Amino acid sequence: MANKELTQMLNTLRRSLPRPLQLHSTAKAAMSMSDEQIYACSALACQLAEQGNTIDAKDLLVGLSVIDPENTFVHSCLAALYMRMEEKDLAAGEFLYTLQLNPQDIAATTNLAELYFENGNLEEAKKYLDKSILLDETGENPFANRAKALKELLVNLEKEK
Amino acid sequence: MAINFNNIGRMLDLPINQADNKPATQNLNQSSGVDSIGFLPKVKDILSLGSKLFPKLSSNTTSLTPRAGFPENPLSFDNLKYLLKLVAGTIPLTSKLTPDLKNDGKLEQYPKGQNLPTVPKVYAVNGIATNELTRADMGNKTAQFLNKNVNFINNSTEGPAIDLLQCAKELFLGIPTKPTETLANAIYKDLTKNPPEKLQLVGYSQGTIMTTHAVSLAITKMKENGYSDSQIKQLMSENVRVALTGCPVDLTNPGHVVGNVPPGPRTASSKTIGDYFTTEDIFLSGKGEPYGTKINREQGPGELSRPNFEMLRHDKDVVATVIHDFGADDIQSLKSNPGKFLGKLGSQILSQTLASVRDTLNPFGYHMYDNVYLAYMVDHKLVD
Repeated sequence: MANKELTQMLNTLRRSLPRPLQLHSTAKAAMSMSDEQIYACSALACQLAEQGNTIDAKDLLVGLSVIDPENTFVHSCLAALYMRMEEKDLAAGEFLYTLQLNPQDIAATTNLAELYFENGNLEEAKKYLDKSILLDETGENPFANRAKALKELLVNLEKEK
Repeated sequence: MAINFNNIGRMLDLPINQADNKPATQNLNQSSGVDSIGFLPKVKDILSLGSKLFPKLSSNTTSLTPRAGFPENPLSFDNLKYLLKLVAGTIPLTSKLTPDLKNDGKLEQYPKGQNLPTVPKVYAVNGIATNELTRADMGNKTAQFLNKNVNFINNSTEGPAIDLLQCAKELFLGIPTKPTETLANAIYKDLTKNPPEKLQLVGYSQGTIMTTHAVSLAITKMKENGYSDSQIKQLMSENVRVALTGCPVDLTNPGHVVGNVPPGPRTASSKTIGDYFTTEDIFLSGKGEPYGTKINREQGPGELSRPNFEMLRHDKDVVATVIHDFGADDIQSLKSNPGKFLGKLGSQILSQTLASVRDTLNPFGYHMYDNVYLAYMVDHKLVD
Protein backbone atom coordinates (compact mmCIF):
# COMPACT_ATOMS: atom_id res chain seq x y z
CA MET A 1 0.00 0.00 0.00
CA ALA A 2 1.35 3.35 -0.97
CA ASN A 3 2.48 5.77 1.69
CA LYS A 4 -0.12 8.26 0.58
CA GLU A 5 -2.93 5.80 1.16
CA LEU A 6 -1.55 4.93 4.57
CA THR A 7 -1.38 8.57 5.51
CA GLN A 8 -4.95 9.05 4.36
CA MET A 9 -6.09 6.08 6.42
CA LEU A 10 -4.25 7.38 9.44
CA ASN A 11 -5.84 10.79 9.03
CA THR A 12 -9.29 9.21 8.67
CA LEU A 13 -8.65 7.22 11.82
CA ARG A 14 -7.54 10.33 13.70
CA ARG A 15 -10.64 12.21 12.62
CA SER A 16 -12.83 9.38 13.88
CA LEU A 17 -11.44 9.76 17.39
CA PRO A 18 -13.07 12.05 19.94
CA ARG A 19 -11.67 15.53 19.50
CA PRO A 20 -9.66 15.68 22.74
CA LEU A 21 -7.85 12.52 21.72
CA GLN A 22 -7.04 13.80 18.25
CA LEU A 23 -4.76 16.42 19.68
CA HIS A 24 -2.87 14.21 22.09
CA SER A 25 -0.77 11.14 21.78
CA THR A 26 -1.92 9.53 25.03
CA ALA A 27 -5.10 9.39 27.06
CA LYS A 28 -3.14 10.84 29.97
CA ALA A 29 -2.23 13.91 27.94
CA ALA A 30 -5.78 14.18 26.58
CA MET A 31 -7.14 14.23 30.10
CA SER A 32 -4.42 16.61 31.29
CA MET A 33 -3.60 14.33 34.16
CA SER A 34 -0.33 14.86 35.94
CA ASP A 35 1.77 12.10 37.50
CA GLU A 36 0.73 13.39 40.90
CA GLN A 37 -2.92 12.96 40.03
CA ILE A 38 -2.28 9.45 38.78
CA TYR A 39 -0.48 8.64 42.04
CA ALA A 40 -3.24 10.26 44.06
CA CYS A 41 -5.88 8.24 42.22
CA SER A 42 -3.80 5.13 42.84
CA ALA A 43 -3.63 6.00 46.53
CA LEU A 44 -7.39 6.31 46.53
CA ALA A 45 -7.69 2.89 44.86
CA CYS A 46 -5.34 1.32 47.41
CA GLN A 47 -7.38 2.83 50.22
CA LEU A 48 -10.57 1.46 48.69
CA ALA A 49 -8.93 -1.96 48.50
CA GLU A 50 -7.84 -1.72 52.14
CA GLN A 51 -11.45 -1.06 53.03
CA GLY A 52 -12.45 -4.20 51.20
CA ASN A 53 -13.93 -2.42 48.22
CA THR A 54 -11.89 -4.37 45.70
CA ILE A 55 -14.35 -3.90 42.85
CA ASP A 56 -14.08 -0.12 42.81
CA ALA A 57 -10.36 -0.33 43.49
CA LYS A 58 -9.89 -2.63 40.52
CA ASP A 59 -11.98 -0.46 38.22
CA LEU A 60 -10.01 2.59 39.22
CA LEU A 61 -6.62 0.93 38.79
CA VAL A 62 -7.57 -0.68 35.48
CA GLY A 63 -8.76 2.72 34.30
CA LEU A 64 -5.50 4.31 35.41
CA SER A 65 -3.49 1.62 33.67
CA VAL A 66 -5.31 2.51 30.45
CA ILE A 67 -4.78 6.22 30.96
CA ASP A 68 -1.12 5.81 31.83
CA PRO A 69 -0.08 2.38 30.57
CA GLU A 70 3.60 2.77 31.36
CA ASN A 71 3.19 3.79 34.97
CA THR A 72 4.87 1.02 36.89
CA PHE A 73 3.34 2.06 40.20
CA VAL A 74 -0.16 1.62 38.82
CA HIS A 75 0.66 -1.83 37.46
CA SER A 76 2.34 -2.84 40.70
CA CYS A 77 -0.74 -1.79 42.67
CA LEU A 78 -3.05 -3.54 40.24
CA ALA A 79 -0.97 -6.70 40.45
CA ALA A 80 -1.07 -6.67 44.26
CA LEU A 81 -4.81 -6.13 44.10
CA TYR A 82 -5.29 -9.08 41.72
CA MET A 83 -3.21 -11.16 44.10
CA ARG A 84 -5.49 -10.19 46.98
CA MET A 85 -8.46 -11.10 44.82
CA GLU A 86 -6.83 -14.48 44.15
CA GLU A 87 -6.75 -13.67 40.45
CA LYS A 88 -3.34 -15.23 40.25
CA ASP A 89 -2.99 -15.32 36.47
CA LEU A 90 -3.78 -11.66 36.12
CA ALA A 91 -1.57 -10.85 39.08
CA ALA A 92 1.39 -12.71 37.61
CA GLY A 93 0.94 -10.98 34.27
CA GLU A 94 0.82 -7.55 35.90
CA PHE A 95 3.83 -8.28 38.12
CA LEU A 96 5.89 -9.43 35.18
CA TYR A 97 4.88 -6.40 33.16
CA THR A 98 5.74 -4.15 36.09
CA LEU A 99 9.16 -5.73 36.38
CA GLN A 100 9.66 -5.43 32.67
CA LEU A 101 9.09 -1.68 32.99
CA ASN A 102 10.98 -1.35 36.24
CA PRO A 103 13.15 -4.26 37.36
CA GLN A 104 13.92 -2.39 40.59
CA ASP A 105 10.33 -2.57 41.89
CA ILE A 106 10.89 -4.35 45.18
CA ALA A 107 7.20 -4.67 45.99
CA ALA A 108 6.42 -6.39 42.71
CA THR A 109 9.50 -8.60 43.07
CA THR A 110 8.53 -9.81 46.53
CA ASN A 111 4.87 -10.23 45.68
CA LEU A 112 5.67 -12.15 42.51
CA ALA A 113 8.04 -14.38 44.45
CA GLU A 114 5.29 -15.09 46.94
CA LEU A 115 2.89 -15.83 44.13
CA TYR A 116 5.33 -18.37 42.69
CA PHE A 117 5.85 -19.73 46.19
CA GLU A 118 2.13 -20.18 46.68
CA ASN A 119 1.93 -21.88 43.32
CA GLY A 120 4.68 -24.26 44.34
CA ASN A 121 7.20 -22.99 41.83
CA LEU A 122 9.97 -22.76 44.36
CA GLU A 123 12.73 -22.26 41.85
CA GLU A 124 11.21 -19.07 40.46
CA ALA A 125 10.18 -18.04 43.96
CA LYS A 126 13.75 -18.34 45.17
CA LYS A 127 15.03 -16.37 42.21
CA TYR A 128 12.74 -13.43 42.90
CA LEU A 129 13.19 -13.61 46.67
CA ASP A 130 16.96 -13.35 46.24
CA LYS A 131 16.45 -10.47 43.86
CA SER A 132 14.20 -8.70 46.29
CA ILE A 133 16.69 -9.09 49.13
CA LEU A 134 19.46 -7.74 46.91
CA LEU A 135 17.35 -4.75 45.90
CA ASP A 136 17.13 -3.59 49.49
CA GLU A 137 20.14 -1.43 50.16
CA THR A 138 19.06 -0.26 53.59
CA GLY A 139 18.25 -3.68 55.02
CA GLU A 140 15.05 -2.23 56.43
CA ASN A 141 12.63 -2.39 53.56
CA PRO A 142 9.47 -4.19 54.71
CA PHE A 143 9.12 -5.93 51.34
CA ALA A 144 12.68 -7.19 51.56
CA ASN A 145 12.01 -8.26 55.14
CA ARG A 146 9.08 -10.28 53.92
CA ALA A 147 11.26 -11.74 51.21
CA LYS A 148 13.83 -12.76 53.84
CA ALA A 149 11.19 -14.44 55.97
CA LEU A 150 9.74 -16.21 52.93
CA LYS A 151 13.20 -17.35 51.89
CA GLU A 152 13.78 -18.75 55.35
CA LEU A 153 10.47 -20.57 55.19
CA LEU A 154 11.28 -21.90 51.75
CA VAL A 155 14.67 -23.21 52.88
CA ASN A 156 13.10 -24.88 55.91
CA LEU A 157 10.41 -26.48 53.78
CA GLU A 158 13.01 -27.85 51.41
CA LYS A 159 14.93 -29.34 54.30
CA GLU A 160 11.78 -31.03 55.55
CA LYS A 161 11.06 -32.59 52.17
CA MET B 1 11.21 -27.47 40.61
CA ALA B 2 7.60 -27.74 41.67
CA ILE B 3 5.94 -28.67 44.89
CA ASN B 4 2.44 -29.78 45.63
CA PHE B 5 1.06 -27.43 48.16
CA ASN B 6 -1.05 -30.11 49.72
CA ASN B 7 2.21 -31.45 51.11
CA ILE B 8 2.80 -28.20 52.90
CA GLY B 9 -0.74 -28.38 54.17
CA ARG B 10 -0.03 -31.79 55.60
CA MET B 11 3.25 -30.65 57.06
CA LEU B 12 1.46 -27.76 58.65
CA ASP B 13 -1.28 -30.10 59.77
CA LEU B 14 -3.92 -28.03 58.06
CA PRO B 15 -7.30 -29.43 57.16
CA ILE B 16 -7.23 -29.07 53.42
CA ASN B 17 -10.59 -29.55 51.87
CA GLN B 18 -10.17 -30.73 48.33
CA ALA B 19 -13.51 -29.28 47.42
CA ASP B 20 -12.19 -25.89 48.32
CA ASN B 21 -9.17 -26.28 46.16
CA LYS B 22 -9.41 -24.54 42.92
CA PRO B 23 -7.93 -25.74 39.70
CA ALA B 24 -4.48 -24.48 39.11
CA THR B 25 -3.70 -21.89 36.57
CA GLN B 26 -4.56 -23.95 33.54
CA ASN B 27 -5.32 -21.05 31.26
CA LEU B 28 -2.31 -19.27 32.41
CA ASN B 29 -1.14 -16.32 30.46
CA GLN B 30 1.85 -17.63 28.60
CA SER B 31 3.79 -14.51 29.32
CA SER B 32 3.43 -14.93 33.04
CA GLY B 33 5.37 -18.17 33.09
CA VAL B 34 3.78 -19.38 36.29
CA ASP B 35 3.79 -23.17 36.43
CA SER B 36 0.69 -25.22 36.81
CA ILE B 37 0.91 -27.50 39.81
CA GLY B 38 -2.30 -29.41 40.01
CA PHE B 39 -4.31 -28.19 42.95
CA LEU B 40 -3.83 -25.36 45.32
CA PRO B 41 -5.27 -24.97 48.75
CA LYS B 42 -6.69 -21.59 49.59
CA VAL B 43 -3.52 -20.35 51.16
CA LYS B 44 -4.18 -16.87 52.46
CA ASP B 45 -0.81 -16.11 53.91
CA ILE B 46 1.85 -18.69 53.52
CA LEU B 47 4.16 -16.85 55.88
CA SER B 48 1.81 -16.90 58.82
CA LEU B 49 1.14 -20.57 58.16
CA GLY B 50 4.85 -21.23 57.91
CA SER B 51 5.58 -19.51 61.18
CA LYS B 52 3.36 -22.09 62.89
CA LEU B 53 5.49 -24.88 61.49
CA PHE B 54 8.77 -23.16 62.12
CA PRO B 55 8.41 -21.06 65.26
CA LYS B 56 11.86 -19.60 64.76
CA LEU B 57 10.49 -17.78 61.77
CA SER B 58 8.34 -15.62 63.97
CA SER B 59 11.46 -13.86 65.25
CA ASN B 60 11.95 -12.64 61.74
CA THR B 61 8.47 -11.40 61.09
CA THR B 62 8.66 -7.88 62.38
CA SER B 63 8.13 -4.87 60.13
CA LEU B 64 6.95 -6.92 57.21
CA THR B 65 4.51 -5.94 54.58
CA PRO B 66 1.31 -7.96 54.51
CA ARG B 67 0.73 -10.51 51.77
CA ALA B 68 0.25 -8.75 48.44
CA GLY B 69 1.19 -5.42 50.00
CA PHE B 70 0.77 -2.32 47.92
CA PRO B 71 3.96 -0.53 46.93
CA GLU B 72 4.83 2.67 48.69
CA ASN B 73 3.20 5.60 46.97
CA PRO B 74 5.77 7.88 45.38
CA LEU B 75 3.84 10.83 46.76
CA SER B 76 4.91 11.82 50.21
CA PHE B 77 2.25 12.52 52.77
CA ASP B 78 2.71 16.23 52.31
CA ASN B 79 1.78 15.73 48.73
CA LEU B 80 -1.58 14.38 49.73
CA LYS B 81 -2.77 17.83 48.84
CA TYR B 82 -2.77 16.51 45.32
CA LEU B 83 -5.31 13.99 46.44
CA LEU B 84 -7.32 16.79 47.88
CA LYS B 85 -6.97 18.84 44.77
CA LEU B 86 -8.22 15.83 42.96
CA VAL B 87 -11.32 15.39 45.03
CA ALA B 88 -11.93 19.02 45.66
CA GLY B 89 -11.41 20.23 42.14
CA THR B 90 -10.50 23.82 41.96
CA ILE B 91 -11.06 24.80 45.56
CA PRO B 92 -8.71 27.73 45.84
CA LEU B 93 -5.73 26.69 47.88
CA THR B 94 -5.40 30.18 49.20
CA SER B 95 -8.83 31.51 49.87
CA LYS B 96 -9.61 34.91 51.24
CA LEU B 97 -10.17 33.45 54.67
CA THR B 98 -8.01 35.02 57.28
CA PRO B 99 -5.99 32.28 58.91
CA ASP B 100 -6.08 32.58 62.68
CA LEU B 101 -3.93 29.70 63.74
CA LYS B 102 -3.16 31.31 67.06
CA ASN B 103 -6.68 30.39 68.16
CA ASP B 104 -6.65 26.83 66.84
CA GLY B 105 -7.75 24.39 69.50
CA LYS B 106 -8.46 27.11 72.05
CA LEU B 107 -11.57 26.95 74.15
CA GLU B 108 -13.82 29.93 74.08
CA GLN B 109 -16.96 30.48 76.07
CA TYR B 110 -20.17 31.76 74.59
CA PRO B 111 -22.19 33.90 74.98
CA LYS B 112 -19.79 36.65 75.85
CA GLY B 113 -20.68 38.73 78.83
CA GLN B 114 -23.66 36.66 79.79
CA ASN B 115 -23.91 33.75 82.16
CA LEU B 116 -26.19 30.93 81.12
CA PRO B 117 -26.59 27.59 82.90
CA THR B 118 -23.47 25.47 82.70
CA VAL B 119 -24.95 22.01 83.34
CA PRO B 120 -24.63 19.96 81.27
CA LYS B 121 -21.38 21.23 79.92
CA VAL B 122 -21.64 21.77 76.18
CA TYR B 123 -18.65 21.46 73.89
CA ALA B 124 -19.03 22.41 70.23
CA VAL B 125 -16.61 22.12 67.34
CA ASN B 126 -17.07 23.76 63.97
CA GLY B 127 -16.24 22.50 60.49
CA ILE B 128 -13.87 23.58 57.78
CA ALA B 129 -13.48 27.02 56.31
CA THR B 130 -15.00 28.83 59.25
CA ASN B 131 -13.39 32.07 60.20
CA GLU B 132 -13.31 33.80 63.55
CA LEU B 133 -16.40 35.91 62.98
CA THR B 134 -18.53 32.98 61.87
CA ARG B 135 -17.32 30.89 64.78
CA ALA B 136 -18.33 33.61 67.20
CA ASP B 137 -21.71 33.78 65.55
CA MET B 138 -22.07 30.00 65.75
CA GLY B 139 -21.05 29.99 69.38
CA ASN B 140 -23.56 32.67 70.33
CA LYS B 141 -26.40 31.13 68.34
CA THR B 142 -25.73 27.68 69.76
CA ALA B 143 -25.68 29.05 73.27
CA GLN B 144 -28.92 30.92 72.74
CA PHE B 145 -30.66 27.89 71.27
CA LEU B 146 -29.57 25.64 74.08
CA ASN B 147 -29.82 28.28 76.73
CA LYS B 148 -26.53 26.97 77.99
CA ASN B 149 -23.02 28.24 78.16
CA VAL B 150 -21.16 26.77 75.23
CA ASN B 151 -17.51 25.81 75.38
CA PHE B 152 -16.61 26.39 71.81
CA ILE B 153 -13.46 24.76 70.55
CA ASN B 154 -11.96 26.85 67.81
CA ASN B 155 -11.21 24.86 64.72
CA SER B 156 -9.35 27.57 62.88
CA THR B 157 -9.16 27.58 59.14
CA GLU B 158 -6.18 27.67 56.88
CA GLY B 159 -8.33 27.78 53.78
CA PRO B 160 -10.70 25.12 52.53
CA ALA B 161 -8.14 22.90 50.83
CA ILE B 162 -5.72 22.80 53.75
CA ASP B 163 -8.67 22.17 56.07
CA LEU B 164 -9.63 19.23 53.90
CA LEU B 165 -6.06 18.02 54.22
CA GLN B 166 -6.52 18.12 57.98
CA CYS B 167 -9.66 15.99 57.62
CA ALA B 168 -7.74 13.52 55.51
CA LYS B 169 -4.88 13.38 58.01
CA GLU B 170 -7.27 12.69 60.84
CA LEU B 171 -9.41 10.21 58.93
CA PHE B 172 -6.73 8.43 56.96
CA LEU B 173 -3.91 8.46 59.44
CA GLY B 174 -5.58 9.13 62.77
CA ILE B 175 -3.43 12.19 63.44
CA PRO B 176 -5.30 14.35 65.94
CA THR B 177 -5.63 18.05 65.37
CA LYS B 178 -5.33 20.67 68.10
CA PRO B 179 -9.09 20.97 68.59
CA THR B 180 -9.31 17.18 68.86
CA GLU B 181 -6.62 17.14 71.54
CA THR B 182 -8.26 19.97 73.43
CA LEU B 183 -11.61 18.21 73.39
CA ALA B 184 -10.12 14.82 74.30
CA ASN B 185 -8.35 16.34 77.31
CA ALA B 186 -11.50 18.16 78.36
CA ILE B 187 -13.62 15.02 78.12
CA TYR B 188 -11.08 13.04 80.11
CA LYS B 189 -10.77 15.72 82.76
CA ASP B 190 -14.53 16.20 83.11
CA LEU B 191 -15.39 12.51 83.23
CA THR B 192 -12.71 11.54 85.71
CA LYS B 193 -13.80 14.21 88.17
CA ASN B 194 -15.68 13.13 91.24
CA PRO B 195 -18.54 13.39 90.52
CA PRO B 196 -18.17 13.35 86.73
CA GLU B 197 -19.65 16.20 84.74
CA LYS B 198 -22.56 15.80 82.34
CA LEU B 199 -21.32 16.54 78.84
CA GLN B 200 -22.94 17.30 75.54
CA LEU B 201 -20.68 17.16 72.53
CA VAL B 202 -21.72 18.93 69.38
CA GLY B 203 -19.85 18.52 66.13
CA TYR B 204 -20.52 19.73 62.68
CA SER B 205 -18.76 18.65 59.50
CA GLN B 206 -15.04 18.38 60.27
CA GLY B 207 -16.14 18.83 63.87
CA THR B 208 -17.80 15.40 63.71
CA ILE B 209 -14.50 13.78 62.87
CA MET B 210 -12.81 15.71 65.65
CA THR B 211 -15.52 14.94 68.19
CA THR B 212 -15.56 11.20 67.56
CA HIS B 213 -11.79 11.09 67.50
CA ALA B 214 -11.64 13.04 70.75
CA VAL B 215 -14.05 10.63 72.42
CA SER B 216 -11.95 7.70 71.29
CA LEU B 217 -8.76 9.38 72.53
CA ALA B 218 -10.40 10.10 75.87
CA ILE B 219 -11.50 6.48 76.16
CA THR B 220 -7.99 5.34 75.32
CA LYS B 221 -6.55 7.65 77.96
CA MET B 222 -9.02 6.36 80.54
CA LYS B 223 -8.03 2.81 79.74
CA GLU B 224 -4.37 3.72 80.07
CA ASN B 225 -5.14 5.12 83.49
CA GLY B 226 -6.72 1.97 84.76
CA TYR B 227 -10.40 2.41 84.03
CA SER B 228 -12.11 -0.82 83.04
CA ASP B 229 -14.31 -1.14 79.99
CA SER B 230 -17.42 -1.36 82.13
CA GLN B 231 -16.44 1.74 84.11
CA ILE B 232 -15.85 3.67 80.92
CA LYS B 233 -19.10 2.51 79.44
CA GLN B 234 -20.94 3.59 82.55
CA LEU B 235 -19.25 6.99 82.59
CA MET B 236 -19.90 7.53 78.91
CA SER B 237 -23.47 6.39 78.76
CA GLU B 238 -24.49 8.16 81.94
CA ASN B 239 -22.75 11.44 81.27
CA VAL B 240 -22.02 11.99 77.60
CA ARG B 241 -24.38 12.85 74.79
CA VAL B 242 -23.04 13.22 71.29
CA ALA B 243 -24.69 15.16 68.50
CA LEU B 244 -23.09 15.12 65.09
CA THR B 245 -24.26 16.24 61.74
CA GLY B 246 -23.02 17.07 58.30
CA CYS B 247 -20.31 14.49 58.63
CA PRO B 248 -18.36 14.20 55.38
CA VAL B 249 -18.25 10.43 55.76
CA ASP B 250 -20.55 8.01 57.47
CA LEU B 251 -18.64 7.27 60.62
CA THR B 252 -20.92 4.36 61.41
CA ASN B 253 -19.73 2.62 58.27
CA PRO B 254 -16.19 1.31 58.64
CA GLY B 255 -16.05 1.12 54.86
CA HIS B 256 -16.04 4.89 54.73
CA VAL B 257 -13.02 5.12 56.92
CA VAL B 258 -9.80 4.49 55.21
CA GLY B 259 -7.65 1.59 56.23
CA ASN B 260 -10.41 0.21 58.40
CA VAL B 261 -8.93 2.21 61.22
CA PRO B 262 -11.57 4.79 61.94
CA PRO B 263 -9.85 7.21 64.25
CA GLY B 264 -13.16 8.53 65.41
CA PRO B 265 -15.36 5.65 66.31
CA ARG B 266 -12.52 3.30 67.09
CA THR B 267 -10.45 3.27 70.21
CA ALA B 268 -6.97 1.89 70.67
CA SER B 269 -8.44 -1.57 71.00
CA SER B 270 -10.79 -3.14 68.50
CA LYS B 271 -13.79 -1.63 70.20
CA THR B 272 -15.58 1.30 68.68
CA ILE B 273 -16.82 4.22 70.68
CA GLY B 274 -20.27 2.80 70.06
CA ASP B 275 -19.32 0.02 72.44
CA TYR B 276 -19.13 2.53 75.23
CA PHE B 277 -22.55 4.01 74.70
CA THR B 278 -25.98 2.52 74.60
CA THR B 279 -27.76 2.87 71.27
CA GLU B 280 -30.02 5.57 72.58
CA ASP B 281 -27.11 7.74 73.60
CA ILE B 282 -25.64 8.25 70.21
CA PHE B 283 -27.06 10.85 67.98
CA LEU B 284 -25.31 10.45 64.75
CA SER B 285 -26.08 11.85 61.40
CA GLY B 286 -24.47 9.98 58.57
CA LYS B 287 -23.20 11.34 55.33
CA GLY B 288 -25.90 13.07 53.37
CA GLU B 289 -28.30 12.96 56.27
CA PRO B 290 -29.41 16.47 57.07
CA TYR B 291 -31.08 15.37 60.24
CA GLY B 292 -29.73 12.79 62.57
CA THR B 293 -31.50 9.70 63.70
CA LYS B 294 -33.79 10.52 66.54
CA ILE B 295 -33.36 9.27 70.02
CA ASN B 296 -36.48 8.04 71.72
CA ARG B 297 -35.30 8.65 75.20
CA GLU B 298 -37.09 10.62 77.85
CA GLN B 299 -35.64 13.96 78.70
CA GLY B 300 -33.39 13.72 81.70
CA PRO B 301 -32.94 16.36 84.35
CA GLY B 302 -30.56 19.09 83.36
CA GLU B 303 -30.46 18.08 79.72
CA LEU B 304 -31.26 20.12 76.67
CA SER B 305 -34.65 21.78 76.38
CA ARG B 306 -35.64 18.60 74.64
CA PRO B 307 -33.67 15.39 74.76
CA ASN B 308 -33.54 14.84 71.05
CA PHE B 309 -32.26 18.11 69.87
CA GLU B 310 -31.94 18.30 66.17
CA MET B 311 -29.20 19.79 64.16
CA LEU B 312 -29.81 21.12 60.77
CA ARG B 313 -27.39 21.54 58.01
CA HIS B 314 -28.74 24.30 55.97
CA ASP B 315 -29.56 23.07 52.52
CA LYS B 316 -28.87 26.43 50.99
CA ASP B 317 -25.25 26.04 51.89
CA VAL B 318 -24.29 24.82 48.47
CA VAL B 319 -20.58 24.90 49.11
CA ALA B 320 -20.89 22.66 52.11
CA THR B 321 -23.26 20.42 50.21
CA VAL B 322 -20.82 19.99 47.39
CA ILE B 323 -18.08 19.00 49.77
CA HIS B 324 -20.21 16.87 52.05
CA ASP B 325 -21.91 15.00 49.30
CA PHE B 326 -18.70 13.68 47.90
CA GLY B 327 -19.15 9.97 48.15
CA ALA B 328 -19.71 6.73 46.32
CA ASP B 329 -21.52 8.35 43.40
CA ASP B 330 -18.70 10.75 42.86
CA ILE B 331 -16.21 7.94 42.95
CA GLN B 332 -18.23 6.32 40.17
CA SER B 333 -18.14 9.55 38.24
CA LEU B 334 -14.47 9.97 39.02
CA LYS B 335 -13.80 6.55 37.56
CA SER B 336 -15.79 6.97 34.40
CA ASN B 337 -14.85 10.51 33.65
CA PRO B 338 -12.39 12.17 35.99
CA GLY B 339 -12.06 15.27 33.88
CA LYS B 340 -15.77 15.90 33.88
CA PHE B 341 -16.01 15.19 37.58
CA LEU B 342 -13.26 17.64 38.44
CA GLY B 343 -14.64 20.25 36.13
CA LYS B 344 -18.13 20.00 37.53
CA LEU B 345 -17.06 20.03 41.14
CA GLY B 346 -14.57 22.79 40.60
CA SER B 347 -16.97 25.01 38.73
CA GLN B 348 -19.66 24.53 41.34
CA ILE B 349 -17.36 25.47 44.16
CA LEU B 350 -15.78 28.33 42.29
CA SER B 351 -19.11 29.82 41.24
CA GLN B 352 -20.39 29.49 44.77
CA THR B 353 -17.33 31.21 46.14
CA LEU B 354 -17.72 34.03 43.69
CA ALA B 355 -21.42 34.28 44.47
CA SER B 356 -20.58 34.41 48.14
CA VAL B 357 -18.22 37.28 47.62
CA ARG B 358 -20.66 39.08 45.37
CA ASP B 359 -23.77 38.58 47.47
CA THR B 360 -22.38 39.25 50.86
CA LEU B 361 -19.64 41.67 49.94
CA ASN B 362 -17.79 40.15 52.78
CA PRO B 363 -14.07 40.65 52.90
CA PHE B 364 -13.41 37.09 53.94
CA GLY B 365 -14.99 35.72 50.85
CA TYR B 366 -16.15 32.36 52.04
CA HIS B 367 -18.87 30.85 54.13
CA MET B 368 -20.31 34.06 55.31
CA TYR B 369 -23.94 33.53 54.54
CA ASP B 370 -26.25 34.66 57.22
CA ASN B 371 -27.84 31.22 57.25
CA VAL B 372 -24.70 29.18 57.64
CA TYR B 373 -24.34 28.40 61.29
CA LEU B 374 -22.48 25.22 61.02
CA ALA B 375 -24.07 23.68 64.05
CA TYR B 376 -27.53 24.97 63.66
CA MET B 377 -29.99 23.72 66.14
CA VAL B 378 -33.64 24.23 65.57
CA ASP B 379 -36.69 23.48 67.50
CA HIS B 380 -38.23 20.11 66.89
CA LYS B 381 -41.34 21.68 65.45
CA LEU B 382 -39.39 23.44 62.79
CA VAL B 383 -37.67 20.27 61.70
CA ASP B 384 -40.86 18.31 61.46
